[in-house]
Amino acid sequence: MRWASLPWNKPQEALNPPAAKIGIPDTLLDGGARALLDLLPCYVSLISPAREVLWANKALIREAGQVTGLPCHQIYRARHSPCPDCQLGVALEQGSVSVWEESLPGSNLSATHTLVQAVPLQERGAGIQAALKISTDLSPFRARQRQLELSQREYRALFEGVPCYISVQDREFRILKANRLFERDFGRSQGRRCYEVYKGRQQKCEVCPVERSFEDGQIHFSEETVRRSSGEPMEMVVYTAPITDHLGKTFAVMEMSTEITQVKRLQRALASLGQAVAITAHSIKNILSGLEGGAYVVQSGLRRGDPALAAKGFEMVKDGVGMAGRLVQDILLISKARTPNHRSVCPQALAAGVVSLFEKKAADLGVELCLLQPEEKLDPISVDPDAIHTALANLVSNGLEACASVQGLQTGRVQVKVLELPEEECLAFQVEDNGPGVNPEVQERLFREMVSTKGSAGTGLGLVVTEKILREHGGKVRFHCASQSGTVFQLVIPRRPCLGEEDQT
Amino acid sequence: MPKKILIVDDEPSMLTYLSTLFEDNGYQTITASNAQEAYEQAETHRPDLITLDLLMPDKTGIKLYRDLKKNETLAHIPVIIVTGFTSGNFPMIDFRKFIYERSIPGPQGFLEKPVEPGLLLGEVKKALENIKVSSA
Repeated sequence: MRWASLPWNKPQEALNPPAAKIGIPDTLLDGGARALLDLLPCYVSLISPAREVLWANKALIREAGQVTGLPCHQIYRARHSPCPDCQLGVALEQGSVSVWEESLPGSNLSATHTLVQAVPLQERGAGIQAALKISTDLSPFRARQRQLELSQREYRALFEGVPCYISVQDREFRILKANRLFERDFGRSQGRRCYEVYKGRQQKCEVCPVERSFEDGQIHFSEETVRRSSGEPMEMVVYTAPITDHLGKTFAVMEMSTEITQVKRLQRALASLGQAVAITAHSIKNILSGLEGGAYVVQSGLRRGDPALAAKGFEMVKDGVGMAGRLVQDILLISKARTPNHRSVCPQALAAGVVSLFEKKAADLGVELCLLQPEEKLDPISVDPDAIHTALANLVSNGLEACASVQGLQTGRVQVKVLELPEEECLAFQVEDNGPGVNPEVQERLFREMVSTKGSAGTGLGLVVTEKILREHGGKVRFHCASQSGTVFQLVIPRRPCLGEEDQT
Repeated sequence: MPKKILIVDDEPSMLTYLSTLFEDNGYQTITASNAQEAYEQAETHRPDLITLDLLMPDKTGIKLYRDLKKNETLAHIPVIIVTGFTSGNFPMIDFRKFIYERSIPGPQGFLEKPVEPGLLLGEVKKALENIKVSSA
């Protein structure tokens, strides 16, 4: 673009009268310089040492009108007196260029916030005669900056405040960033691997939603069981979303996890309930048909005048009633919290009772069953003997079946031990088998749901009931699985008297 | 001459109930509580019909059924299966295999416990009438 083609440049005289006419020496700011300044998209003015405007460029005149001769503070800040924070002094009195930001409240100017540069102007050999004040409008940048700050604050609040665990991970599953909740429950995690922090694993999980999001750039989700740094397991639903650069390439993945332990517990409780209802309905049907049969036989005996037959029928009816009673007891055992009916019993006698009950089964299955316990008599322990008997019987039965399930070279062996654990102030009934062990995937779910590896032969309720009984005793079920072969279960019961704890569900 | 029914079930109460029911309806009954006993009773008494519970210990009900059908003198006796819960805890698959095994003819009836007395008597009557028809 040629200089002359600019429309306001045509009658040069009219637009840019010689400097002398407006009282500025041409040597200070000549016509060419003023024409150039008129083109700038910022407010430019020439200010005298008395803080009066000597000249203003078009951009300033367009908004503020004719300003020549008016004080600087009136035009820029709508003030009647000089600004107490006037910074023109640096240019006008010290002769240095200075830069500052200035807000323009109450002025006629459209800019509300400006970046000001003041440049001292002087004629050769003379003192400073004026300062050139160039004010660039920062309002749009300020607005954008405020918006950016706001969205950063919002993003931060969201990242830290949502009731989810959030982490940002790289391709190596290294945690680059994690929110407060995450660090509270899983400890310092920056730089550590996801699988290590969440699961204490040494290598990545087989199926990993983060990996999938890296692969296809899509959102994925999965359900995972993880461990807090306190060791407590928790169930999570995990969503992963790719974070892409300006070319759309995924450079990180954000993982958001919500705890669903309670939901899962409810879900399992409902599933158990459904199963229990089906089993119960069937049992009731059986009992009813037994009662019906008994009633029929009684009636027939009476009709035939055969008291012996009537008596047989009566026995059938009594059996049916007995079965109904036991069924109700079982349902109560599973479905609600009960306070154990504590009695003081000899632990060795209790273990011996359970073992003797299983001797025939062990022999039938070809599994060796033995009881190892200290020679000297242990102190009696306060437990609900029937409940602990049930719990121990469940473990022995599981152990025998685990051993019998392998067609191996070694003989199956189940050992029951009674151990005193003085440092924990507990007593333990231990059941050890040399069966196939429990695979890690099943281990996670062991006590929580109806896990059965016995196909249709097991309901999977055994360990749930066992765990519940121990919980009611203030104790716990511990297990240890020795690399693929054999499992050790312990029923750990506190020695101190306890009232049991409330059921959580 | 009343028809003779052999009732095979490991539950004594079931034996009492079914024998009373059948006797009240004009049949003669013999009972057996295990496979071995049942096979012997069948050979000795040559019943006109057998009701059989498959779910006896060690699945001997199935073996007994096969043995009966393999024995030339007993194979013609109609058998009505009266058995427990087939879905759920028990190995359904064995029943299927058993029912559809080609080399052995299927049973004349298949009822699940708890039995509906009217239905059982109907099945028994039908099975016995079929013999009359086929032998006539």
